This record gives sequence, structure tokens and C-alpha cells, in this order.
Amino acid sequence: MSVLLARVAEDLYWSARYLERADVTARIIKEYTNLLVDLPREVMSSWRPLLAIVGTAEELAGEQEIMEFLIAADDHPGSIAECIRLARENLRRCREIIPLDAWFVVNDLHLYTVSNAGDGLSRRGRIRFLDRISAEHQRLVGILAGTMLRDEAYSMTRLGRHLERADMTTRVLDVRASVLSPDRPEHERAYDALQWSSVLRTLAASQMFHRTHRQPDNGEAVTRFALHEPRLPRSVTYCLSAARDEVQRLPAPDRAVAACDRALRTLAAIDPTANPISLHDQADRLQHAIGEVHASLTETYFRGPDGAS
Amino acid sequence: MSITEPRTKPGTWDELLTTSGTPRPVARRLIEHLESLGLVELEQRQTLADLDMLSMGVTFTVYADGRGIDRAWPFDVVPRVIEAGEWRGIEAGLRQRMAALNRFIDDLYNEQQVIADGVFPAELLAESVNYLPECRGMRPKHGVWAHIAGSDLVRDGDGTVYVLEDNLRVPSGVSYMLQNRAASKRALSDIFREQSVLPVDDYPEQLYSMLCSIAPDDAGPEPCVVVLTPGIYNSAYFEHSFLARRMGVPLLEGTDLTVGDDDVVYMRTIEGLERVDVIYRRVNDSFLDPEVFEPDSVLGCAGLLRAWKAGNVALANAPGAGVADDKVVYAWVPDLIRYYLGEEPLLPNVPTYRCCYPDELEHVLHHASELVLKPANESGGYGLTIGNRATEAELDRALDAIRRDPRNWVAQPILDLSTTPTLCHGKLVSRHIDLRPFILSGAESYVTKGGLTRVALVEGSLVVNSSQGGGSKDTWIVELDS
Repeated sequence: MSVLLARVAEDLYWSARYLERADVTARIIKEYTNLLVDLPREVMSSWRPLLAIVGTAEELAGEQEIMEFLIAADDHPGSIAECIRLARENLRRCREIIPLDAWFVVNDLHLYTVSNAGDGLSRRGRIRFLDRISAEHQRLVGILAGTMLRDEAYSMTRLGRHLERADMTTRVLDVRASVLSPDRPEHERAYDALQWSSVLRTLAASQMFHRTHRQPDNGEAVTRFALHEPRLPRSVTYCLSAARDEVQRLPAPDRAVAACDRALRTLAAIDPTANPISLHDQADRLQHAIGEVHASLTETYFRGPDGAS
Repeated sequence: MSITEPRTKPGTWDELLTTSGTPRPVARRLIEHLESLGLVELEQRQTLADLDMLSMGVTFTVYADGRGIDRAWPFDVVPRVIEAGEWRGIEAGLRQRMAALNRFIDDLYNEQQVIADGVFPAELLAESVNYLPECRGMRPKHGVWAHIAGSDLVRDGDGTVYVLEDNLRVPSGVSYMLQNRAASKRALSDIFREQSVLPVDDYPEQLYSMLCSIAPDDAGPEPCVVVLTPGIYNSAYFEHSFLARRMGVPLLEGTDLTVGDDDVVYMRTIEGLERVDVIYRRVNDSFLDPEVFEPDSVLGCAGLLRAWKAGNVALANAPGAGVADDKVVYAWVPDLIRYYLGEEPLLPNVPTYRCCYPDELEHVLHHASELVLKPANESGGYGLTIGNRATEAELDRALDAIRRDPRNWVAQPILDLSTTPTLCHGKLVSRHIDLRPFILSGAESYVTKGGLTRVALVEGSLVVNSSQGGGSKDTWIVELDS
């Protein structure tokens, strides 16, 4: 019999999601900042696509306002500061489960974020701040991987991380790819290779792409790589397969495995050569399918046997 | 310049220094070591220790403006030292006290022989708010009700150690005792090699064995032991989580539990319901079971008392154990030791005036300015009025309250709590302290080697509670060199 409490399982799962979200959001902002500095203003000058990636309907315009919202805001759960705070709150309730060193990293990261989030708002301190967020998250993942029992608690952290990663990769592709239609006027397409490199770097996949592709960064190859490359740890295929493997270690996995399989089938049907509008629709369906995996975990593991949570 | 410059005030006992300012024999090595470090180095080590506490998330929660604030645990690097021979005496006194108190509780919920024999007044029991009639007839395993106790000790001006109060409900502080030791090992690592400080680190193992020893008989060789916390907003949450982690057992909140129609307690795991055998509950009696006590409580679990009475789960401490830790019962403890054990108390009580008796009440009303006035059922230093420090209005308010409800009040002479050198703003100064050792009772009993030393950080203050600005120190039980 298992001794992993349903509530603790949910806390572990969510803490992993929040931390992954903070990490990916940090990468997204960093690479977008770098790209915007590189491109001529007439090609790209708006920060608003960033808001679309984190899926908000907020009407914000300026760089300052948008950075504040994505990095430091304490009133919406998508900002980096808020993700880290929520992750710490969740892990504070799991200190008897996770390695003590992992707790120290999260607690320290929270203290760092509280006192340094302001650095992330200005371009001067932004990259350093964002790098630290990603680096500390990677350290945490390393501690968990290097010390934690391969039990159900560990599976919950891996499930949270991989579902969040799959979801974020899908969003990045959706938003960034949909504006890079090959039908645009020539002067706009002049910088597409730069843009696609930026997408790859956002997914921490640039170097790995070049090791496997002897061709310039182009939309079709990058999209295919990010969606379907089974050896790339941030590809949606990899993340969903990893989630499926993890679910199979858990008790009564049938429902969640079926949800993973449905998501993998939806993914397999996505055609990277499709036009942007159709790609956007397919990405939507994929996100919905990932949401269904999440729902199956909630039903099976977090709600408890008599439906109470 | 000597590091021990601050003289203690005459009539006050200092734990480390004699009245002439020389180190007591037991503290000689420590003082020498502190002097060799110097104040600047000591202050730096203090700063590092504070940072460690913060980044390790060693915190407690205080409430201000209706909001809980997570504060770093206040720790002073200068330890408090007690000689091992003296400690053995104190330890024996604490075991004796807990043995008598557990017999007393068991008696109150069963035969009430102590009342029949005229040792304890029936009317006090009748008025006790901590006596739970629902527990009548229960016989917990080994006759133990207060499995985890924390008794507060103070030392008066002449060096006598008194028991100030016994905490038999959900005493806290033991995790901070362990964290303080870890912090002081880091801050003063060199001296730990030079002398033997008795270890405290086996507490979690001792706690776990004790909890296993009270499991229902049908629980098997590896009973399912859990810690039950009121949740993350409780001021002692850090401790609940710490103990669960160190014992390797699940930390539960009330909503993780359910009691079946079979009167068995289960927890909700990802695989379904799992039976629970022993609950170290850090939830107060009144919130433990909405079927029986506070109907709106979500901190406990409906049916818990039913399961306990059916013998299907052990609760530590047992519900109702608090009947023996009110400040009125305290006054009877020496009599209870004689009555149940036929022994003289090894540790003295502070003389206590019981306001329920007209002659003692009269004395209290006339000598209030020389006394500490204590409501019987408050903890954490709340509601205390210290006669010679209160304003006239404060004293009048307290005396009014006593006249209205004398049963609920006791008074004690104002003890001159001992002091110990404490680092404040870069200087070593004298500050008042107390000591809370922890006593485990199950199949066997165990006393921590030392305990949690709490220190009143404000000059002259006697209030050591962390909720009211107190700090803490590591406590060293040291063998004297022969």
C-alpha cells in the first residue's frame, strides 16, 4: 500500500509545475529581450506576444508594464515571483518528503526573488536575474534526481514538470510560429532565421538542433524538432512519453495512461508544414489534450477515494 | 578587556559566571573559548547563524494585523551550560513528576481515588475546563496520557532549580532545541572537539519508538505512525514538519483523515484509504473531533474520539491529558508525587497561592505587587501580570478578574530568573532565561539532555516566549573534567 497522501501528491505535482513555469517564463523573456535588441524596430518592436505565451488577456503595452506583470507581479499566478512563492508554499507542506537540500534551494530562491525581482524589470539586470532563476531550478531538479527515492512522490514531481514543459513548449510554438507565416512580404521574412533560432534557444534546444540538422533554422524543421523529436527533453513527444512512463509506475494508472495516449495521438497528427492558422488550431487541441491528462491525475490521485480533496 | 565584563546584578544567579565575574567551573572552557574568539568574531558567527536559520527555513509564525508572518527563529550563539551531575538530578525529578502526573490523570478518568482519599479537592475537578468527561473510563496503554511533556524550569537567585509549569497538551520547542544544536555546532565547532557536550540528536528516534510502543496491540510490528498538524498557518508548523521528516512518517492535516463506520482511522493516499495506528497530534483537544468537541473544527477529524475509545488508534497526547497541566493543579503536584509514588519530590515547585481558597486569595489581594498573577489556562506568557512591573491600572484589572473568577487564578512570588551572557548589538550582556526539557513517556521514559533554553532579549525582561520577542540558546550538558 502507498503512504503518499493525496494532498501531498498534489502539492508535489503543483510545485514542480510552478517551478517549471517560472524557469520557462524566464527563458522566454530572456530570449525575447535578446531578439528584440537584435531586430530592426520596423520588423518587431512589440512586447505583447509575451503576454500571449503566458495566456493572459491583460491589456498591457509598454516594456516596463509587461515585465512587471511577467516577473514581479504578486496578483496573478503566472509571474515568476508568484510561481516561486506558490512552489515554496507547496513544498513547505512537503518538507518531510523532499530532500532537505531541495527545500533549501527553493527557500533561498524565494528569498532571492523577493529581494531581486526589481532587477529583472530593467534591461541592465534582467538577464542576470533570469539566468539565476533557471539555474536554481536546474539545481533543484538535479538534487531531486540525484537523491530522491524513485517512489510515487518522485513520480509526482516528474509528472508536474513534464506536463508543464509540454504545455509551455506548445505555447511557445503556437505564439511565435503563428506570426512567422511564409506568406508574409519579403522584407519581413528577411529575419526569419534569426527568429527561429530564438525559438530554439527559448526551448534550450538550439545546440541540439544544430547537432542533428545540417540546415539553417527554418520553421518547418524547428517546429518538427520541438514537437516530435523523441530524443529532445523539451519536445512535446518526449515530455508526454515521459509523463506516460511515470503514470505507469503509479497505482491504478489506466485512466491517466489513456489520457496520455490520446494526447500523444493528437500530437502525432500535427503537421509542421501546415499553414499558421491550422497550426494554431492544432496547438489548441494539443493543449486541451494535455489538460485532459492533468484532469485524469486530479480525478485518480488528488481527489481521494471519496471525492474529497 | 575581558569578554565577560558585564557583571550580573547582586542576588541574581548567572549560569556561566560567579558574582565576582569569574567563570563557573562548568563554563570555564566555553568562556576561555569566547575570549579567544573576541567580540567581533563572535558577532560575525552570530550573523552567519542568523542567515543559516533564514535560508534553512527555520521559522515560526507570529500574528500581527490578522496576518501570519513567517519569522526566522531567533538564536543566540552563546550557549547555556549545565553540569552533567546536576542534570542527572533534574532528569530524575522530571521522570518522577511525569510518573505521578500520568497516574493522576489515569485516576481522574477512572476510580478518582485521589479525591476519595481527600488529597485533591472534588470541586476543582468539577470546575476544570480541561477535564473531558468524554474520556471517562479510558485506559490508554501503559497508563500513560501525557506522552510528550515539556516542563518549564527556572533557577532562582540562590541557585535552586524550580519547575515553573508542566505543559502536557501539545508542548512545542523540541525541534528548535535540535536546530539550535546544529547551529551552535557550526558556529562554535572548535570547542565541541575540546569537551564533551551530551548529544540531543536522538530525540526523533526516541519519539518514534515511544509512539510505536503505544500502538494498538493488533497493529503489527510496524505500526502506521503519523503526525497531525493544524496546518501551515500554525505557529509551530515548522516543528510538525521537522518531526515528521526526522521520523520518516507522513505529516497529515485533518482533511487527510477519515474515520470509517468500523471506527478505524484511515488516511487518504493516492491509492485509497490506509489504516493509521498512532497519531502524534499537534491539534488541541477542542479541535480534535467535531463530533464531540468544536462542531465547526476542520483541523481534526470527525470520529477520532470514537476510534480512540474503541482502541483502534492511539492518540498522543491522549485527549483530556491537559487536566493535569493547568496552573491550579500545579500547586498539588508535590502532594500527588507523595500520594502516588510514596516519594518526596526531587524537584521543588514554586510556592503557589491558590485563589480558590479564601485565605490564600486574601494574601494575593494584599500582596499583589510582590506576586506574579497567572490565569490558570493561558499559555505562551499571555495574561501574566507581574506585580512589581505592572502599572496600577493593570494590577487593578488583574485583581478584578481574580475576584470575579478566583478558581481560574494562581499567584507566585516573583522569582529572580537566572541570567546568562547573551550577545546583543555586539556586546555580551546579562539576560534572563528559562529551560524547557522534554519528557517522553510510553513503555519507557526518556528525558532530553538539556532542552530548549529561552531568553528574554529585552534588558530586565522576564518574558522569554518567542511569540513575545524572546530568543533561544543551545543548552549544553557538560561533564566536568575530573
